[in-house]
Amino acid sequence: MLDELRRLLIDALHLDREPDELDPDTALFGTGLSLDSIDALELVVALEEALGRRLVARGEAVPAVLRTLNTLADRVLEER
Amino acid sequence: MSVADEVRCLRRTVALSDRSDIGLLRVRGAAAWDALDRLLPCELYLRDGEARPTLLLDDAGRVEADVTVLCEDEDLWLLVEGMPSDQVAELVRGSAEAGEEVVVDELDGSHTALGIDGPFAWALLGAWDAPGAMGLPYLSSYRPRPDVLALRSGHTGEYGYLLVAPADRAEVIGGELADAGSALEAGRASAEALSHCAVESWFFDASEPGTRLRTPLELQLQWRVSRRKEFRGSAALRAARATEPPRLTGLRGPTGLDACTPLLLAGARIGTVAVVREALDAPGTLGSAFLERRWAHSGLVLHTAAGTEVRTVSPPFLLNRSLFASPQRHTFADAATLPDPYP
Repeated sequence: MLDELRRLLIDALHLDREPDELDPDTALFGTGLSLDSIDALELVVALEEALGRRLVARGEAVPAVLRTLNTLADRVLEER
Repeated sequence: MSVADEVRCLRRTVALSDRSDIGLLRVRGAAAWDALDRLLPCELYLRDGEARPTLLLDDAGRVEADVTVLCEDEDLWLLVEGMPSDQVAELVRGSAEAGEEVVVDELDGSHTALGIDGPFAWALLGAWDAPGAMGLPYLSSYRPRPDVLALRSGHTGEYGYLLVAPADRAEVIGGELADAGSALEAGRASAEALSHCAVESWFFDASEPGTRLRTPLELQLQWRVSRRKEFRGSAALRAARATEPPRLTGLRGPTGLDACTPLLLAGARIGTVAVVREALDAPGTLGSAFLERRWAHSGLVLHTAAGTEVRTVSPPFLLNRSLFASPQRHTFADAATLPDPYP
């Protein structure tokens, strides 16, 4: 799951990082990878398309869900 | 006020802190950038007013200090935690090649830092007649006063600002900030409170003994390090990748769990508790452990030798109020409408 999410993150956002450089608890927003709100929307769209399910509920704050790769994986597993 | 009360105040409104523990250096000269580029592990491209968190590593690739490098005009500031400024200055000067002009100003005697952290930290700065703080992007700086540098940063997971001011003005500025914060129910945060917040929000804390002298691979700090350039410790890091070192992993345990406690999975030792704090959001403790890499994941149930159950979890450990507080949409009057991080 984490490896799949790393590849999705790198492909969707064109990150100049190798997959094993993306530590599972590194912050995606603010500090860490410093993604912005546009990155957040692109990421959510790419993830929901790839995984075939909604990950962020309507009105839910995206950074609150996509805090790290691990919290993202937790959300994907919850939705399964 | 107890540490727990200080943490609650910071998490719910805003807290002021004495950050004179942060080492302050300014690097100038025609070769300043080149010298720092050889020393620091991050890619060193910064716009005027932009900052970047990085590290200082030793030759074995282990973290010696937490560094924020900030560009202001032609100069580079270093804000350092975990290593005395004179040692950092020596490293910087030692990174200059023969004939290169590098001047290092050690500013600890002449300047000091003040911290402002919390979901309404921006409101306090605005009340201090520094409205430029309201829209300041993370890791950006500006001068609210000619002799005061304001950097938006912080290790608590909330809105955070560091003010670097002349040491002989610190008391006056601190008093002005306290006055500005009175309407915001501002409190004070000790070093212990800031450390607790760093643990809760999964920020690296150079003062934490349980994580001293580990590599960025073990500390999940690879984002602060370039894989493309050579720097002090880069060769050791490359070699360390092949060994699959242990990794720091979040955990929750019972009250009384201690650092350095071995952790077992099916009776076999797989790691050691590194950092632990009494949790404020639920009974028990929270913190981190270095686990064998193949087991360094959330969702595991481990045990101590005494049979106490410890669970690995995905940090951060709480939903920061700052995720919901917006300088553009809220005022302090909206505080009660925002989610409370503690029950």
